[in-house]
Amino acid sequence: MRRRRLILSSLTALGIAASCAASFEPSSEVNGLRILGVEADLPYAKPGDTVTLTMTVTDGLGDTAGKPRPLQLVWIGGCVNPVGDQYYLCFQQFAALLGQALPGGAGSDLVKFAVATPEQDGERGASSFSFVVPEDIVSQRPVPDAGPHYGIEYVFFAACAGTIAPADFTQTGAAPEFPLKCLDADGNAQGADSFVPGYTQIYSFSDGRSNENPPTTALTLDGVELPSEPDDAPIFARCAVTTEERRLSGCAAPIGLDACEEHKLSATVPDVAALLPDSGADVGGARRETIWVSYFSDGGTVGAGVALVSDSSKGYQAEHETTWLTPAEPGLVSLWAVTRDQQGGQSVRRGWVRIE
Amino acid sequence: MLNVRRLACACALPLLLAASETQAQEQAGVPEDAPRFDSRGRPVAPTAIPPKPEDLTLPERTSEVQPEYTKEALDAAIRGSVFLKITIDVDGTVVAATVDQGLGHGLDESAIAAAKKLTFVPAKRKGKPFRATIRYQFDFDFKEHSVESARTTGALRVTILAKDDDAPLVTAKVRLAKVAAVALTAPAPSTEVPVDAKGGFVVPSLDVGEYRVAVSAEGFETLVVIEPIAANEENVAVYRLTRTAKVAAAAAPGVIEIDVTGERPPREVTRRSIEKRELERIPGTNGDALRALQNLPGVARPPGLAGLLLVRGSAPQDTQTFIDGTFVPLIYHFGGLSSVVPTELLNRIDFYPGNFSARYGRATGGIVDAGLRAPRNDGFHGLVQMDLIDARGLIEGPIPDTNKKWSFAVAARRSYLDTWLGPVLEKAGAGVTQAPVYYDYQLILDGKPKTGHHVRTSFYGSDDGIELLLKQPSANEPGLSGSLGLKTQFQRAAMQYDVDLGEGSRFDSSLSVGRDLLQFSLGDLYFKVQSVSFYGRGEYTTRLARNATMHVGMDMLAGGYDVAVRLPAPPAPGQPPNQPFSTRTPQTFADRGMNYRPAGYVEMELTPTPRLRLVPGFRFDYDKFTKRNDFAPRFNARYVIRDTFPKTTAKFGAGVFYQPPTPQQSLPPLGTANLKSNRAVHYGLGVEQDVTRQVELSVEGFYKQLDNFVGQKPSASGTSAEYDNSVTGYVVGGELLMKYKADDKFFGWLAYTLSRSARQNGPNEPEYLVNFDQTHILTALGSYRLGGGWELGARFRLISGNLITPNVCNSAAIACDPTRIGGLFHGASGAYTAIPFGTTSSERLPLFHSLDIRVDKAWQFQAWKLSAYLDVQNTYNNQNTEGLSYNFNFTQRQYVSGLPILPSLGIRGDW
Repeated sequence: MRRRRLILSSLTALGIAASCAASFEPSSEVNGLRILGVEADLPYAKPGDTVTLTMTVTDGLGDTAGKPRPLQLVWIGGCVNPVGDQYYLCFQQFAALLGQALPGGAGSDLVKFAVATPEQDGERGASSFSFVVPEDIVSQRPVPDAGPHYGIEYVFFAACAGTIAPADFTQTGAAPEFPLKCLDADGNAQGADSFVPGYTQIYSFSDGRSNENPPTTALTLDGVELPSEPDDAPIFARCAVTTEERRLSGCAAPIGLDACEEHKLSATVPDVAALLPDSGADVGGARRETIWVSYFSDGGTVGAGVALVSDSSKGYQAEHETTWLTPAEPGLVSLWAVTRDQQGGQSVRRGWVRIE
Repeated sequence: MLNVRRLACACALPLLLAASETQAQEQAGVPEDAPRFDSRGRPVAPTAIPPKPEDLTLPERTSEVQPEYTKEALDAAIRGSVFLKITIDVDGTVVAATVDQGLGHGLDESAIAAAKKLTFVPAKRKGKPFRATIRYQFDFDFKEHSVESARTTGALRVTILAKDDDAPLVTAKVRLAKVAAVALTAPAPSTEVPVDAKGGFVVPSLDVGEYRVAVSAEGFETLVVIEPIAANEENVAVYRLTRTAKVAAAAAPGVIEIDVTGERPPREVTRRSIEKRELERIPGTNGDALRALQNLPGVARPPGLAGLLLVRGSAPQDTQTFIDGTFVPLIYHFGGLSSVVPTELLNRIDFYPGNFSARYGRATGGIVDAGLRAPRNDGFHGLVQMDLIDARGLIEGPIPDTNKKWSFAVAARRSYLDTWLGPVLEKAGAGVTQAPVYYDYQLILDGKPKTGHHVRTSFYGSDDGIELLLKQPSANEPGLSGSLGLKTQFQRAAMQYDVDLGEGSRFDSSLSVGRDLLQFSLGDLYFKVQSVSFYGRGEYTTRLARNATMHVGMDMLAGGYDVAVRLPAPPAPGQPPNQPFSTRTPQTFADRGMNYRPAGYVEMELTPTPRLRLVPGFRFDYDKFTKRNDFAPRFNARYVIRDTFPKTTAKFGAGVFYQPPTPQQSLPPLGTANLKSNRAVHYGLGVEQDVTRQVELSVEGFYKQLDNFVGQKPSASGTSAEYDNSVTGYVVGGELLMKYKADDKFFGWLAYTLSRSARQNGPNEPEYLVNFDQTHILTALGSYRLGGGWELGARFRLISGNLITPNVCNSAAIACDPTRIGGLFHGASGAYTAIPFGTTSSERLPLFHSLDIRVDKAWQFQAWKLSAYLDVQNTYNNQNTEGLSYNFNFTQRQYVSGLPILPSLGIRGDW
């Protein structure tokens, strides 16, 4: 039995080594500027609906004192039904709208600049953007031979720890570069740890289908719900293993860190997966939407960054927690869970932990 | 391909009295049953020997010349002996040769031409040379005899083995007769000598003289040897018998010669064939026959263990695969782990990298045609083989009460990946519903109900399956998680009927009915295609004139399908992903119907001169889905520049090749109606050159013009994709193959390919190289039998890296901007969408190189053979690069390494 375990462990290690040869920083570790979620109140909207998008953004890099930097945010909407749903076909329109919105331009309701203060860092609702879905968003498209008849509206956004400025509309590859840049105080272009551009889309279907955001009702650590305010944060002991040492321990970071206590981090998500329209029943019966949860922390080490909450055919997965190791340094740590479904629904939950 | 011509020369005793001085005596001729001698000068079939004057010395041959086996004779299956009268001058040269008893079909002329090149020590009388006329015999036979003997002293001690695997032939029958010391006396009566359990016999006491030993065994060529017996000496000999043609092809492990019979010259410019011994022993392939093809020139290296056939710059789906002439949808388990038909059931693999015959169609790349071998009929045999991945067994033999006209083979294989990979996956976090497992099975009934007729019925199939629950989604494709299922199955029931109609005419046919299933599901997405397929082929061959043979044939691929799909439209080639695949709006589609693709072809083989072969032909194809007719003219030519050693042959080919779009491309609503077939025009020009008698060199240049290839564009409706025939391109390159033809000790070759494969997605679009374009492909391999059952082989490959379209620039490059934003955050999924850096295929991965080593050891027991092998891939553990990986937001990249050092062990028993 022992030998069998040894063989299995070896083979597993081999498999893990083969599948995650790269030693990149995991996406769950928030070490730079990150947009964690962009939540739509109506993931599937009807023509004429007003949709509000809410951004959760955090600066894991911070200023020289380690405090979150003030951020400039921008929202640009109004790109409806580009050919083939290709987002980058909106860039031309996007550049024109931006020109109107910048000082000296005619102004545009489809562009919104905003600022996220350090106090809003990591909080749901740091910035929001509302727009009206065109009445003809679906009808302006031909009815496809297969699949649902729908329309799509893209909204672009960016968060910048500096000043947002237009960029040259260049195309070095198969798709053009994003036509915005983020400049520091000296006018130098900022990299990905200080500038996060992105996009999202709202679908509208001819059959009027809708989708609810999957709720994240709580975030627990070792079964205890984490507070949403730092003052109430529970206290945990630090783990003296440095970040670099953790990374050297392999792709599955917690493995081998026997000196530190491994905590169970879990988002509480009820079984809300909806039946997928048009899912067919030819292979394995009707499907439900897939739901997963992404975990983040700005300190410590998260095990698996993404966990399955509901499988399309096997349904709800009650065990969707991950592991978390406390950081080596004392201080306040934020943990987030972002629950998403495959139909554009999502919700964000933040919890606080104090490390001593 | 072996083109074995058995040449046995027989130097008859000279017409002793027919020296030039005595014409009358010469015309008196020699007795019909003049003794024959083998190439070593030993008599092989003496019946009567004329008296030898005491002071007369016979001419002694000092050179060996092999006559050409003419195509006409091969076509007509002519075999036998040509008897010549040849006159040998006092200087030993042949000054005249006439046919005494001929075979026709060009063999008489061939024999005369060969005889005139012979040289002799002249006949002498009382030590003085004189011009003599002798009767000389050339044997024309397709088969090859092999005799190895080692003589010491003593009586006669003989061991009889099968040439290919050294198996003792315990069923051999031996007749022994003393050769009359004086010619023209009646032959001595022969006696049967019993063979012991080790396939040997000993005759302890024999009178001094020469003995005619005739050895026969079921399924083997009869061997006749003259053994000298000297006083107080023991003559120890080992006879190795060659299997008859079909049995040779059917023989079990070890060396099995493929197409032993005189092989018809190819109708293609290039046909590459691999002998069975090579198939089983090429290092780095685990003895997998189809994987061995990847070592031939013109075939690019697929990544890792993938079994893709990338032929002359064509995509994998552009090459068609046949088993016994029947089209099969897949040839590898799980995409490359092992072939769906075990190597030991194959007798040949023909590979046509381009310019293939009109009998093949619906492909713009190449053709692979693997032939199942005939089961053995010389008793019951079997094998069991196990390695780290699977185990298989085979039983074969004659069907009782059929007088050995019918034989059968039953084989099956099952993987046991599930026994260890399932727990490993569980430990890694996946829920395993069904651990990966595959099966395949084969049943063959083969018979010759009467002379010239061959019937084969076969049933074979394959089944792969896996079902997992992925609990940890990928950060970049979070929706592609949960239930993952894959199931592929196919079964075929096939019948072949070939009949020789005589006078150069024959009819070959095959018919198969089968069932295919391909089912894949992941999360809410799935793809399932179930079909009943029918494939029929018939070809009539007839000789229209002495130099013209016509092939007329037809084939039909048809069947009913039942398809269910729930998938987003795939991203168009060359376009970046828009958002995670799993969060895009899927199409749900179900349909059932029928499809058929009939085809007909005509091909001529013209030989206006013995050296020139012209093969014009055309093919006509119809596709129900596209409702298109495709007419494809083709032309191949071969010209023998030099017909004696070292032989030189030039070859040329040009032709049009069509491949219909896939059903998902041409069948609305998933696809687009009214598409045309993909079209390629192949050109090939090359030369084949004998370097030595054992080494041959082939050099060939090729060019493929591609047009009307199906491309994909985004649709206005968003959901589906639209297809058109806007893609064009070309493939250009050269191939070199220097091959040491397999002999008893060694086989090996050096293959090099230089190529460039480019595409253009429209008239105004930029040209790009396809990602499997590999500029340089060098493969050197060889295997040597060390003796004592040991064999050692090695393969070295040096190949250009694949092309990629990177999303992140190489930080080592000066132009790489560290602040470049490589990905856009996709708010709905939380994943990042890459922004490609550079144009399509703008970066080439580092050079691939690898050394693979294989060691085999066989132990021969009385009734069975045990063999084991160790096959080590990537022996020096080179970190070959197979791709790039990126961090979550596309700001960093790393090389992904391919296979590490990978040893594989196997063991096998044959009886």
